[in-house]
Amino acid sequence: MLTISGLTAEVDDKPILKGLDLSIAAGEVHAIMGPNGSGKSTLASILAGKPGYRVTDGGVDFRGDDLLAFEPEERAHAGVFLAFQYPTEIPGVSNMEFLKAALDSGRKARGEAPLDTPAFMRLAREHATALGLDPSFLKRGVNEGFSGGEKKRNEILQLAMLDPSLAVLDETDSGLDIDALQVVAEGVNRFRGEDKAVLLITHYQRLLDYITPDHVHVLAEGRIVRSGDAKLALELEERGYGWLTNA
Amino acid sequence: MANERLVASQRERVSAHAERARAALLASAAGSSLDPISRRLRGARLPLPGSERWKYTPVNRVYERILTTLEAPAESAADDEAPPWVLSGAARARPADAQTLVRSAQQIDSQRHPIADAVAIAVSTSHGDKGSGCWTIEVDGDAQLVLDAATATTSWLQVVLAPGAHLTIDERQSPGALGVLRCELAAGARITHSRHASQDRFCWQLLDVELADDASYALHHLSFGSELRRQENHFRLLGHRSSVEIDGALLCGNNHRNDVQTIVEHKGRNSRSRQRYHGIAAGSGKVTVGGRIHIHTGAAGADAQLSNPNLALNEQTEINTKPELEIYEEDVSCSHGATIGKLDEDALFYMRSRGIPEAAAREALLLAFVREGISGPAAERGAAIASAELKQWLAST
Repeated sequence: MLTISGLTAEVDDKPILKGLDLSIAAGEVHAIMGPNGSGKSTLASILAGKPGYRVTDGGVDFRGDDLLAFEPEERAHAGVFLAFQYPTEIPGVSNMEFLKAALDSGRKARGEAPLDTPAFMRLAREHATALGLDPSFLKRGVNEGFSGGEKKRNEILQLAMLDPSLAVLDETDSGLDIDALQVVAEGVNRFRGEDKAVLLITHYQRLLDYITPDHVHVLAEGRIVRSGDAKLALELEERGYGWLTNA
Repeated sequence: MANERLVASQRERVSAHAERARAALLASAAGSSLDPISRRLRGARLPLPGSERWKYTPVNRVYERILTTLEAPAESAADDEAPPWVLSGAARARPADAQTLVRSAQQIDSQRHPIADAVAIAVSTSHGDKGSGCWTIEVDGDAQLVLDAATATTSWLQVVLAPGAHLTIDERQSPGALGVLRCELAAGARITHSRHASQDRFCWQLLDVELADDASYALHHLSFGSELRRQENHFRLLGHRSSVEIDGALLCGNNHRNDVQTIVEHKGRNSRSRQRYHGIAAGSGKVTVGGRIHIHTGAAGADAQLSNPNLALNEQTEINTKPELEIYEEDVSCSHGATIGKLDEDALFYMRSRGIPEAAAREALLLAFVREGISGPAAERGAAIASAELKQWLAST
């Protein structure tokens, strides 16, 4: 589904990614772990098309398309979803309006008619309830005044509603207590499927207690320096990153 | 040096314009019952461009408009007898005589609003022998007033509320307005005023309000710029616990101007004022906000706030914001804040990352900013109007 080849990128003329290679097939869950400053969030931002990042070499193929040539909204229409580490607050735009606009934009791109309001409301309430969110939450401004846990649940609600092919979760576990972590993990597990792929970016192993990855990669100095299965995450928890980054 | 000469020459030209307007006004008022206003106008210095309160809006355009009104009174009077408003509920309206117009004009602080005297004469002259052009509306219960300046090029309304009365004003401005709205609120009276000003050619308007004990005024406005739009507001919180709440959104694109100058004077004890203006400038638009809070001696417990966040959508726009505080009492709470920024790029990316196209995301963010500016009972309608007009406005800027 996703093939990243020799990806090299910089921010403000500072090289961050230095030849990153990664392949993710449909049905797989990959976890990327690594120390601070290794380039994990940069990778997520580049995949979603955030302005300010300059790709200087390499490429990203997403289901046969050059993902980097797409605008951010086109990437979303193609099936890429980024769950933000710090979801943005948008006062004055309600969750409901936001979700409806996002959903209808995707449907329009696929040549489908907009979802009628009652059907949309049913879907939104259903997903909100599954994530332990009071449906009144839909009337509030996007992430406005939300707690850290609510913001992350809102990201998972959007994931469920928009139903992309590839979910990139950028440190979705940060700032969550155990209960919220479980709810978020359940949401991600519900999303998993044969035609879906997940790229989990995290510092810690604890999220992987609830979402079992098929592959774990260690990112250091802008490159994947080690790949393995779920056991690698346990080893990292025990030994830290030093033995890999200093090697 | 050449630039200084150019500025001096422009000032001279406009000064001549002001003098011509003054001479024409005095000539048209000669021998009429407007003597007290004429005397005041004769002694006053009409504002020139560059003067503090007309720094960003060309006052000469106002003089041009006044001269046009004086030179073609019959046309301005427009032959129709229908007043520029519709009144319903517990209220009465009657045409006022020249003495009432004079008394109404004399209540206005002519140092702060020197154009008002000129407009009083222009209003009276433009109506010729059809009356003073001034109307008085008395409200003694619940009433509704719909103002539509489309039917008048000049207007002067004197609104008086009895104790406990409540008036809802729904104001829709249109081209060519030179207007004064004076409101006197007795104890416990309330006015809820929604003002919607779409893109027009020209508008100068003064809203002058006096509030007695426990009286309150809520002004919610949504205005789009025009070739010249200048709104002056003056609230005098004379009574104890009187209050004023102003909020709204000012939008300005193309080469238009949207200038709001508000003065709130706190004289009564425990009086309260809130002012919030959300400004958006696009194209080569110029948004100007002057907000002055004056707390007089004796206004103990006064509580005043002013905020003015603005969005500048490109490098060619101009936003001028000037909050002012003048405080002569110790036991008060007073604050102000103004910001000028760009559209939140993080929010824009967040929306785009969910598949919302950039243009739609920008529009949604701007509409959200406008909505945040409008509150109260007008919020829903204001948002609906904003939503409908914003698209058109964005396309035209």
